[in-house]
Amino acid sequence: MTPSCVFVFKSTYLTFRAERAFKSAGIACSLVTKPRHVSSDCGLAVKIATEKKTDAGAVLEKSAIPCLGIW
Amino acid sequence: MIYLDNAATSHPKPASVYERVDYFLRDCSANPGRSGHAAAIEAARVIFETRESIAKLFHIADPDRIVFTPNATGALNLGILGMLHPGDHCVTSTMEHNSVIRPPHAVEKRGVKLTKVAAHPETIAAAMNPQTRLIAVTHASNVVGAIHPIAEIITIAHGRGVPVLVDAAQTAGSVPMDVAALGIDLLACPGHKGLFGPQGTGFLYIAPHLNPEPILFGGTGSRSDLEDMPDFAPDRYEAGTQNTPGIAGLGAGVEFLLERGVEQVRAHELTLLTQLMDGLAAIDGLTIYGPRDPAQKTGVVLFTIEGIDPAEIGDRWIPSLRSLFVWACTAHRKRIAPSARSPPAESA
Repeated sequence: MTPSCVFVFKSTYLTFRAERAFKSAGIACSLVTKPRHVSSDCGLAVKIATEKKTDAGAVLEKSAIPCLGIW
Repeated sequence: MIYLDNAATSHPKPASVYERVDYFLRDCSANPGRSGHAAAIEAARVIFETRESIAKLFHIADPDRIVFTPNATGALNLGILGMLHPGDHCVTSTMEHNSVIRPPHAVEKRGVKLTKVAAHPETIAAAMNPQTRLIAVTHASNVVGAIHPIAEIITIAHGRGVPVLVDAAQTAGSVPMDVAALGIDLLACPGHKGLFGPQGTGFLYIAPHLNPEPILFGGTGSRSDLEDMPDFAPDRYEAGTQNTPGIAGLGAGVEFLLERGVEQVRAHELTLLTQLMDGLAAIDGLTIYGPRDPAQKTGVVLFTIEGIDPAEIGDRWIPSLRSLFVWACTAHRKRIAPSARSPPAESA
């Protein structure tokens, strides 16, 4: 199984924006239920392959989408 | 039937609206934002996409500042009650719908002051005082259809640092509106009129520099550890399960308008208005109220016929067409309101 990580955002709206930005940049991703140990902000998170974490961070910065954290 | 009561709610809707609501109810009727299973994600996506479409239609830079409400009344209540505190002063016009008049009136007993003046920049400016915290004005009268000079009103209000709430119940979807260019602070819209969504839909746009108090409290699917509402929009104002089937249909209605273009809708409306007013003006004893220039009004024509009770016009004046027309009796006069979906020839 490919190692993966999840990007967590403040709101559902930002989560969907991030998903769209990742897909537009060619980064495969999926929406998943946010891990229980992460804060109770948005109930969803964006899951990507860990090897794409740096690229994904750059996409978020370029798109001005604030991220609460990566787990 | 030729439906001419579009000022109350639009009919028929584009076919895509019916199809989208049907699809949502049958195939993904889950609760958005409350779970992570596929149907719940799809439901949340429907709301996200509708927010994005509305933002595109109205030139709103921050779609997350669009708050879904049950109707324009809900949006106006949030915008007015959320902004006004005891000691604050609100200016509105004498041409307002009760959904603008009643919320500030209801809090007058809690120390809010309300002034109603003509919907002109000069009279509104004269009514403002240092305690004025909100100007609430309709974009166009629901009675006579007159379009008000909101750009000038906004300029005057902003010159004194006062935000403006625009009630676009009669213009959303039929009169081009650029929220960013106009500098609208709060925009209240019904989803079920010119935007062609189902009844039970509406929204309030809240500019990023404003932070009205929520007026509805409950679950949002976010920050569930807090007893306070979340501090970010739209969650701060959207408590409880959303009308997702309705919002899905609203999304389809807005996409219809984006494809057709509001400018084209407006052009069609002006054609209908011209035909309608010319035809009515040729009738002996008929009086049209409000602007005679179609360019100065929305798709609403108010009239009376001498010697005939407005409530009986449909029965007595044109009995052969009685079953073909649906219209409204407003302010003891007759109101006809065609829409972008009304055919020109039959409406004249």
